[in-house]
Amino acid sequence: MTSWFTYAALGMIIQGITLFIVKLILPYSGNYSLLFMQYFGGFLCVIIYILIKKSWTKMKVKDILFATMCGAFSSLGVGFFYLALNETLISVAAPVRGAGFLIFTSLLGVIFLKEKITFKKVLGLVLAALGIIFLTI
Amino acid sequence: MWQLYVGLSILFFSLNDFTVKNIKKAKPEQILFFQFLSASVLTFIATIFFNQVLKINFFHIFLGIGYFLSLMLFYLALKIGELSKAAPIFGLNVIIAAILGLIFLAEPFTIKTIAGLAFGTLGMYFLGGKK
Repeated sequence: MTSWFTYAALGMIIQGITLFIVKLILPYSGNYSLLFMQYFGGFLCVIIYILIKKSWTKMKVKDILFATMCGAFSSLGVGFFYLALNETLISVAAPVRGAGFLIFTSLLGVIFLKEKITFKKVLGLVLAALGIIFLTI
Repeated sequence: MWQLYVGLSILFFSLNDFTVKNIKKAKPEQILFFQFLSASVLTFIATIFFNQVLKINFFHIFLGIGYFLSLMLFYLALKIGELSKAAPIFGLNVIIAAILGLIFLAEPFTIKTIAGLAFGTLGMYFLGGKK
């Protein structure tokens, strides 16, 4: 088992558990306040982790800017999804977003990072997209 | 109009992963520090703008820890793996949420659920292969 796969799979499992917790709390709190709690809670965790590990190293300004942009991208991603949910059912929007995200992100990797396209990768992507569609419709 | 919103949502989520993959020198925790900081500010503004109440309960603690750990592991995977493989695997987290829903919330086990779990698991198998 390759190490990147172990990390991605473990991250996927923990994210799945987090998503389940979100599902439990969502009826009792607002979308944006819940998101704030999620990000702010994560922010506190990362500070504790950095303090314990003493792992901070010097960063380039470009990397700081990119990392800050990531915060805006993820917030806007969720924000637009909530706007879509105001106009259509989650059973319609979630599969489109889930499958679209897999395919679009992979395309970015193939086009801009020159990652290889293999038959197994395409098959895996199609099956993963189908899995998300069936689980979210 | 919802199609445009979903399209923009896909675009921004994909840009997030693509940008992280392009940050070469920083450690995952450093990326998360700035990402969580800016996202906290933006979502706090949205919370005020949409007049939502901030209430903290026991589950919120797990939410923060879970989000931090999952993204930390995902960014480690992005550092050494391909974006076009690691991102789809991470995106399959709905499988875990679906299984937990079946076990703890007694959600109905339908043909669609079985098909979704089977396709998702097979997809992960093919994406996780060495070649």
